[in-house]
Amino acid sequence: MLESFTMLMQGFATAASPMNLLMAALGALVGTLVGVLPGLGAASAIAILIPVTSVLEPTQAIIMLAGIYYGAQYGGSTTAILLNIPGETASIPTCLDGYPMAKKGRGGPALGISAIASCLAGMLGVVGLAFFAPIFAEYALKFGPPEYFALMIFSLSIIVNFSGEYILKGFMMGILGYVISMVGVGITSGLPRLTFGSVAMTRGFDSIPVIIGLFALPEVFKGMEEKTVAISSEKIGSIYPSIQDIKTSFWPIIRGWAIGFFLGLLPGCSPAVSTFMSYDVEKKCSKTPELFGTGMIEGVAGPEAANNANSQAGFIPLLSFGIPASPALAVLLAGLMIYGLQPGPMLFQQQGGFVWTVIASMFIGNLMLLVLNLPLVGLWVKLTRVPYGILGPVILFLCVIGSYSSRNSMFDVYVTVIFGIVGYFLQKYRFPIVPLVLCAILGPTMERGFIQSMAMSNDSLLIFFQRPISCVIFILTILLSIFSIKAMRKTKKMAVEASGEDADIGSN
Amino acid sequence: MKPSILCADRIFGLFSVIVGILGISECVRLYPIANSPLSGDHVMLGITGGVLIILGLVLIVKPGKRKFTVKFPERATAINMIGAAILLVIYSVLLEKLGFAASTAICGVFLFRLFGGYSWLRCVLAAAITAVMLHLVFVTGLGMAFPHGIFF
Repeated sequence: MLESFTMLMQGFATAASPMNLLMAALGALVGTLVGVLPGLGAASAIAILIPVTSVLEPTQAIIMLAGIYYGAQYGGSTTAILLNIPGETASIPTCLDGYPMAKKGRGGPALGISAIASCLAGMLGVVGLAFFAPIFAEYALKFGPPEYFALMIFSLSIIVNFSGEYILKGFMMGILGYVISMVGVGITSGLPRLTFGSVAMTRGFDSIPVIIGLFALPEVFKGMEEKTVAISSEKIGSIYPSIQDIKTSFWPIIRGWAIGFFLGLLPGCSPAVSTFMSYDVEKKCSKTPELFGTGMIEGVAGPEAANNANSQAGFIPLLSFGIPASPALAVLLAGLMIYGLQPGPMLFQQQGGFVWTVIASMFIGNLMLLVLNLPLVGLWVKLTRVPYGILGPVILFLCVIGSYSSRNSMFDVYVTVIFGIVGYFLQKYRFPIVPLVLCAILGPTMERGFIQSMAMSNDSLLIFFQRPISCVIFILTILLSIFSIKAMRKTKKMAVEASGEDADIGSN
Repeated sequence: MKPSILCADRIFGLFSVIVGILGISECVRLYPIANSPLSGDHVMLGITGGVLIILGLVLIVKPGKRKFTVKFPERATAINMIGAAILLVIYSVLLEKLGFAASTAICGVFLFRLFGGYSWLRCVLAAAITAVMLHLVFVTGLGMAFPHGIFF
C-alpha cells in the first residue's frame, strides 16, 4: 500500500508537467465537446484521435484519450439535463429528474450538481483505482500462457453484457471479430491466412479503421436519418447550486459513488446497471419517492456520481486484466496496445511509471473538468445549437483522416467505408457490435495464449484446469456470466419502464 | 413478429456459415505445416470456423422473434444517405488522385449540400473553409502525411 502511495505521488509529479497538464485539459475539453455534440460518441472520438495522437509520447496520448473518455461523460449529462437527450442508456436516469428541473428553470443547479457529483465520484474513483489495481496486479508474475488464455475467455463473459438479450448473436459477432483478427500473417508459421491472394490483406485489418467504421459512420448516418437539429434551450438559471442543494445531494453522491465504483470493479458491468440501481436506491431512501420524476436533485446527483465512479472503476479491470467495461474503454484498450502497452497483470510491473501517471492525471483531469465546465456551461449550451448540416460532413472527414492515418494506407479508408455501411445495418437490426470489436482487439492475445499453452502441455487441454489461477478464472467466468445476465435483465426492465420504449442496453 | 424467409437473422446466419466454411478451408490448408494438432495457425481457424457454421445454421433454422420494429428512413432521406456513402467512396478515390485539400474541398461542397441543403454558394464557402482548416490542423500542424495527388 505504501509502495502504491509512493508511486502515486511520483505519478502526480509527472502528471503535473506542463505538457501532461495541457493534454489532460485538452482531452477533457474535447471529451466534453464530443459528449455535448450529437453524432459523435466517446468511442468514435477516441478511435479517430488515436492515430492523430501518434505525434505525442505514449503517456501524453493516453492521458488525452482518457480525458476524452471521462470528459464525454460530463458532456453527455449536459444534453440529458437540458435537452432530454440521453446520449446513452446510462444517462436515462439523469433525464428523469434533470430535464424536469431544467423545465422549471433550474437547469443551472442541475448541471452544477451533476458536475460536482461527477467530479467527486471521479476523484474518489481514482483513489479506489490506486488502492485496488495493484492488488490485482500482485498476481502478475504467476501468469503464464494458460492464465492469459483463461483471462481472455473471462473477457468473453462481458460479451453477455454487451449483447443485451441477444446473447447468441453477441457470441457470433465476437467470433466474427476473432476471424477478422486472424486475417493476415499467421503468428506461428508466418504464412498468410484468410488473405485470398490479396497483398493489401496480408497486413491484416487494423483495429482503428474497423472501429471508426462500426461506431462513427453509423452514428453520422443515424444523425442524417433522425434529421438531428439544433435545439435551443430555456434559460438555465445560475449554474451554482445552493447550500441546500449541496446538503440534499451529499448522501446521494456518496451512495452513487459506492454503487458505481463497486459495480465498476466487476469486469464488463455496464454503467447503465449502476445508474439505474443508484436512481432506484435514491427513490427508496427518499422521504418523498412520489416526487421523483418531477425534478428532484437527488435523482440527478446519485446516478451522475454512479456513472462517473463506474467509469473510473472500469479502468481497474482494463489496466489489471485488459478487460474493457464499455465500448469507449474497448477503443482505449486498442489505443494502449497500439502504443505497445499490453494491459494486463504485467502492466503494473513493467510500466508502473506510465500507469501511475495516467491514474494521477485522471485525478487532476476530473478537477479540471469541474473548473472548466461550470463557467463554460453557457458555451456548451450554445454548441448544442450547431446545425447537423455542418457537423455531419466534418465528422465524415475526421473519420477518413483517422482511418487513413492509422497506417497511412488507403486500404484502411476503404475498410472504414465498408464497415461503416455494414455497421449501419447491424445497428438497425440491433446486432451487438462491441463483442466484434472486443474480440478483434483481443484475438491475437487469445490465440497466442492458446498455442503456447498447447505447446507447454503437449496438446493437453487439461492444463487450463490443472493450474489454480486459470481454473479459478474459468469458475469466475461462469459466475460472472450468470450475474451479468440477471443484472442485464433487471436493468432492461427498468430502462423500458423509464423511457417507455425498448431500450438497447447492450450497446452502451 | 414472425421471421420472413430473408430476415436479418437468416442473412446473418448464412454469412456466418460462409465465413465458417472459409475458416475451415484455411484450417485444412495450414494443417500440414503445423507442429501438432492443437498448436499452429490452423487451430483457431478450425475452432471459430466450426462454431460459426453450427451457430449460423441454428440462426437460419430458428431465427429469433424480433421484439422491435426496424424503421428505415423516408425516400428523400434515404437518397441523401446513399449519396453520402457514395461520396465517401468517391472521396477515398479522389484523395489519392487529387490530394487531401483539393479532394476535401470538392467532396465537401456536395456533402454540405446533402447534409444541410444549403445554397451552392454557402456549400462552396463551407467546404473551402473546412478544407483549409483541416489541412492547417492535420497536415501543417500535426505533420500527417496524406497523398499529395497530381497538384504537388
